[in-house]
Amino acid sequence: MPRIRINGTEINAEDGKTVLEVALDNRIYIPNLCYHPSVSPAGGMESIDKIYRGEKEYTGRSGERYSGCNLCVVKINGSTVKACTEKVADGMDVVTEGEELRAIRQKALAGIFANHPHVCITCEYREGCDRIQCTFGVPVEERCCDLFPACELRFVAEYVGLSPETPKYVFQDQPVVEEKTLKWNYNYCINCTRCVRGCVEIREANALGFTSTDDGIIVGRPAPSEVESECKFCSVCVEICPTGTVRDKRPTKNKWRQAVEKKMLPILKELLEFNEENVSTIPESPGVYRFYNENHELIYIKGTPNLKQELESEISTREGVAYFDYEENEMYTMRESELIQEYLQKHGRMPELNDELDDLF
Amino acid sequence: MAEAVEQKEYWRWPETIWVDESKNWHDAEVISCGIDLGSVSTQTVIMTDGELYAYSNLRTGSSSLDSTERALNAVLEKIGDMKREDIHYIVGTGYGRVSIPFANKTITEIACHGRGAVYIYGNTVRTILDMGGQDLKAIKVDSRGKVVNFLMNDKCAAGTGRGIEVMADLLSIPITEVGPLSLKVDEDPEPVSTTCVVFAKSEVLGLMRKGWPKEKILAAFFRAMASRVVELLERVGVEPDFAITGGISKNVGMVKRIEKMLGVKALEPKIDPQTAGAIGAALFGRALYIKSQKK
Repeated sequence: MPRIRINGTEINAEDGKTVLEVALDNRIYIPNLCYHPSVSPAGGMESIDKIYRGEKEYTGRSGERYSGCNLCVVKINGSTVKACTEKVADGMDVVTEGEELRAIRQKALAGIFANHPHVCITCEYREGCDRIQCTFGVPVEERCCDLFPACELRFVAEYVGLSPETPKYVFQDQPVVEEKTLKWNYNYCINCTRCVRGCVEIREANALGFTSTDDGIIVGRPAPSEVESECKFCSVCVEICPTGTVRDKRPTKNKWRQAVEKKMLPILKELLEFNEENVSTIPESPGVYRFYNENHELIYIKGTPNLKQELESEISTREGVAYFDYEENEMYTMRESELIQEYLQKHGRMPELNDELDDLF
Repeated sequence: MAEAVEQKEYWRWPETIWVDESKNWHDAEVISCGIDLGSVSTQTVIMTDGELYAYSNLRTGSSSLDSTERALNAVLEKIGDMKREDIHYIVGTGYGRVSIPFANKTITEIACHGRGAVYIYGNTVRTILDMGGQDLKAIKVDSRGKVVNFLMNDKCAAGTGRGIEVMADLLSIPITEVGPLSLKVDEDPEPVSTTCVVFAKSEVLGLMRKGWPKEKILAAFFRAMASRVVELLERVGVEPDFAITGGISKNVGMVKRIEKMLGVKALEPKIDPQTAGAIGAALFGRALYIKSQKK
């Protein structure tokens, strides 16, 4: 079993795994986008000579590979490599954060956002906004989509930070395709090829593909319709997409879809152990706190006028809480609703302990 | 002078204090209270053994603490012989939860609204639109009343109670009349281009200059507001039965337009739908009290 160091911490890594996998297994977050635990890394698949987005044909070159999103760069023994392809080896010294890495990641992100709406990500009103009407008059097509509260791309962007060099998004009027069970809005597609790999590897269909052009990779169907592309309607693509590109027309469930693992999202706030010592350092100000269980799963969201007071009373009565985090916020009830909205969008139910109240009925 | 000021306040909506005089609260085992301190209005509900007994619906003043005191005292006064100590459990909810010092517990609005709507409309309700003073919420609940989806907007006043108050003032029409008046058009005009409350004034002045009658202006506004609300609802997915709570559920001009655009009729409330949050809070209060007694 190789022993490696990540940010100074010694870790027993599982042989054969990549640095990214080992880091995530140990809850050390490395930004990533084209990586998904249920499919192989992005570079393994070859392009085809043309793809379709609805009726529209895109021709390119076949036999080429997608170079990846480039967000997972880390320093290993001093040199910059991608954590998603680098296999662990004994004695590796991995550093996941730093000025240089941040700059590389921000540049990669800027490239993605040149072709993806992002104005809402930096808006100070981003939470609690339904994006139906914009206070700043941003046109609809330049706004983020309604999946915003649960959007993976957005959380990654919040973690990495948008550089001032990020270009303004210009609407490109990509096809919006209505299929039998799915709706594709290619304006949101970042061509990460996760859906393609999901289609091929999880459902063993070939109903999605990508072609390679001078302007980069373009994802689409190998034929003008889903039927001609031999789509098997499993909706794995919906499950695996990091943006709002492909959506169900109505909710469905099946074994392939359920087999898609949940990804670890960026840790935007460090979790604190739920103990008296940590609680004693919390300010006596209004804000929102969240509880997590042993597995770091969010189980409770609550706003309060006095964080310290409420957490102190919680510590003596609550069981099953291992970690917590908090944020100070004068408008704590509003913030609480926003965080619950985010949770409901991701999970379709209230957090466990919030839900407990309803079990009283 | 005071009178002159009063007359200009077209936005003022009537306050309510109500007690079910057919009941005797002394017979009840559990008396619970829910207080929903909102940004524009405050509701206090007293329930006896899980049944609605009394409520008040008052405007939230500039001091939240005074507002809650006033709201609770108003109900107690109307009941007559009930004192604060007679209440077994008080639950606070709403944006101003901070200022309910006498509450035993505070509970998230979303949970309270969901639970309250199920009480008011029955357990067939699945989609709840809460149109409050300063925000919009679309809540979906399952057959057990558990919240399964929720979308909201609290960043834009268009389509909220405050937005309609501003309209009432601009057009000098009492707020209770804007709804019915807006329906007095043969056909809805094109919706206004912006429902932004900040720009409403110039928009209204522009339409008045064009010679539009007030009902037509209101119709254009409500249509725009309704389409915005409907868009939010469609994102959460409307599943019947559908119900509207909050102050705007009393605005027939908005309700009719939302129903028409959705193609779904909203359930008729048996109880003041503005009290949903407070009812939910009182129901939680009762359940929590019973739980605490079992220990």
